[in-house]
Amino acid sequence: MKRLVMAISLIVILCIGVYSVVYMQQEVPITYDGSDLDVYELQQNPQDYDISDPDGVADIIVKENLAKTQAVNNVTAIVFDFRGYDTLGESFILLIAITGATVILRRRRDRWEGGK
Amino acid sequence: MNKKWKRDDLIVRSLADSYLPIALVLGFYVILHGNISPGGGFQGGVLAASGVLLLYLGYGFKGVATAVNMERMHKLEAVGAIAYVLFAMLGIFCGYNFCRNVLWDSGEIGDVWSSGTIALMNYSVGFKVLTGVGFLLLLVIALLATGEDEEHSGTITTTEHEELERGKGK
Amino acid sequence: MITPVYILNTLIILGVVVCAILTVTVKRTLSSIICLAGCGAFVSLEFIMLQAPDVAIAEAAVGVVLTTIIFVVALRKTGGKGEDEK
Repeated sequence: MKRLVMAISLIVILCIGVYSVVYMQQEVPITYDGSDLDVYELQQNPQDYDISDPDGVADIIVKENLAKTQAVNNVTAIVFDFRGYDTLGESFILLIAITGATVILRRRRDRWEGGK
Repeated sequence: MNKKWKRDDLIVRSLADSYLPIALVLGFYVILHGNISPGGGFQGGVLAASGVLLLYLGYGFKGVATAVNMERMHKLEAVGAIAYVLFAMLGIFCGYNFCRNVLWDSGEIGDVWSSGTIALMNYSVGFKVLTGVGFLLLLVIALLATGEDEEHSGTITTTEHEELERGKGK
Repeated sequence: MITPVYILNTLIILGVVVCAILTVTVKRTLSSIICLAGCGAFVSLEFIMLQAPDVAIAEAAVGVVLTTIIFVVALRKTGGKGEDEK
């Protein structure tokens, strides 16, 4: 049963990989360059905007974030959308740290068997 | 040195009983409302994982060992990691980049379900951190238990100067 | 110009400095760990004053709770004596 589930999941992952490779061969994926945004305009010609007040720039960024992701919390929007790779690596750091702690403390885990 | 003593833990147990629901509700609130209020997956996961610690403070080693399954927690952590990758690969299925938010136009601004894959990835990271930090806390708790004899398995080993202070108090 | 927010900010920063100095100078190791947790709590309040509630929640959960618990467990396992207590 375990081997069957593992084989099925491996086949599914292989199919996903083949599909994505074939798709990327067909056409170039659409990348996000941000050329139609207020922030891009602000960076190109900043004399059109009122940036003497720091809240003015923050308002522009918050408005663009809301229009782009519809998430009110801007930190979550950046961490999980624009910086998705960063969060992926961060969560795998936690996984590796806990695996290391498990290897060091592996003798203590027998006590949990006795506690049952 | 390292003598064992039975704790008089009525006050600690009643405090843990009253605070455990509050800690769990606060943690899951922070996870579920990660996209519309301060917080997120990591913070809420750590807050909810402190419930394991409260359980240990109130009921000792045997209470935690009967309430929480350690091996299942260690396996469920991988489920959270795989769920994150699958939610991130939704963008590839729709023809965009990895980690592209393809469900973003799915509700009014301010709803819980309004930001597409941001909320889903938030939940998966919260689940992963909850199980991971809970497993780490269980490992640390297992260090404190003596384990040789069954009857003392819920006690904390004390050190020498604390024994001396307790002797002076009597 | 002295406002109540300014006074509160100053008090919090003074609390951080006092807790950090106590962490180094206190003799007992357990007291030093408690002072470190107090330093983390003041830093968390300072993050709230600087309008960063995300970092404040993370600091309060990790820096105050988890670090203190792991230090206390390590202290229990190593015998609970620092260099000054011999």
